[in-house]
Amino acid sequence: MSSKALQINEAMQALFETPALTGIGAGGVVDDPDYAYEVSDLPMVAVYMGDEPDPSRSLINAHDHTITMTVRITAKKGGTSGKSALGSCDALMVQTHNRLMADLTLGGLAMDVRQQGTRRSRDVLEVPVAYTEIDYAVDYRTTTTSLES
Amino acid sequence: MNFAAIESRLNAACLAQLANCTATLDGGEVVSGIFEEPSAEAFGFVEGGKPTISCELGDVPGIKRGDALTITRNAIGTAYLVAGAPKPDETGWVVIPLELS
Repeated sequence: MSSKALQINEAMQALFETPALTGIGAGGVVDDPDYAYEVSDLPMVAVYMGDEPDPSRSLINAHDHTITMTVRITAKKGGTSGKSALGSCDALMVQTHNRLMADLTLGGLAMDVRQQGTRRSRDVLEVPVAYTEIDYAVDYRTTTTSLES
Repeated sequence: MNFAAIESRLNAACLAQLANCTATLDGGEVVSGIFEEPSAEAFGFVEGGKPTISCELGDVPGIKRGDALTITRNAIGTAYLVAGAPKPDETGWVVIPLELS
C-alpha cells in the first residue's frame, strides 16, 4: 500500500538502476538524499519527492496531481577522467535524463514528465565534490478518494 | 640568542616529537611534518576530510597551490596536491591544505 507519488519515485529509481548507469559509483541509486555518504561512494544518484500544489479536478471523480521529483547527481573531481567535480556530474545527468524522456508515462503511472529547473553546488573535502540536481514535474491522476490509484 | 632562533629551535623540537609523516616534494626533497585530516561534510550529506600538513616554512620554500607531494605515513605513501594557498604564521610554521591527487 503506497501512494502513487511513492510509486512514481520507486519507478524512477528502478529506471536508473536497471540496466546500471555507466560510471555509477558504489553509492548507486538511492531515494534518500540526506543519508551520510562518503567520498568513496561517489558518483551517485538520488531520486526524491518534492512538493505538490493542490490537485485539480478536471475530470469527475479524479484528481490531477503534479509532483516535483528531483534527480540529484553527486560526484567528485576526476569522477569522469579529466573533469572537474561539476563536469563529472554531467555524464550521469545526461543518462538519467535520457532514460526519463524515453518513457514519459513511467510505465503507465504518469501522464507526463516535464523538465524544470537545474541547481548546482560545489564544495571541497579531500577532493572537490559537487552536485547537480534537476527538477521534473510529473503529472499523474488518482481518484478523488485515494492517493494510491 | 635572538627570538627567531628560539622559535626555530622550538619548531624543530615540536617536529622531532610530534611529526607523524614525511612529505616528498616535487623536487625530491623529503621533509617531516604533522599530517591532520579532521572530518568535514559537504552539502550536509557527503562525509569526508580536510587534510593538511604542517611543517617548518623554511623546509618548503616556494610551495604553492597545485604543487604535487607524497605524504608517507606508516610506510604508506599517498599522492596529494596543494589545494590552496599555504598559510604561514609569524613563527616560521606553515599549514598547507591538501587534496587527493
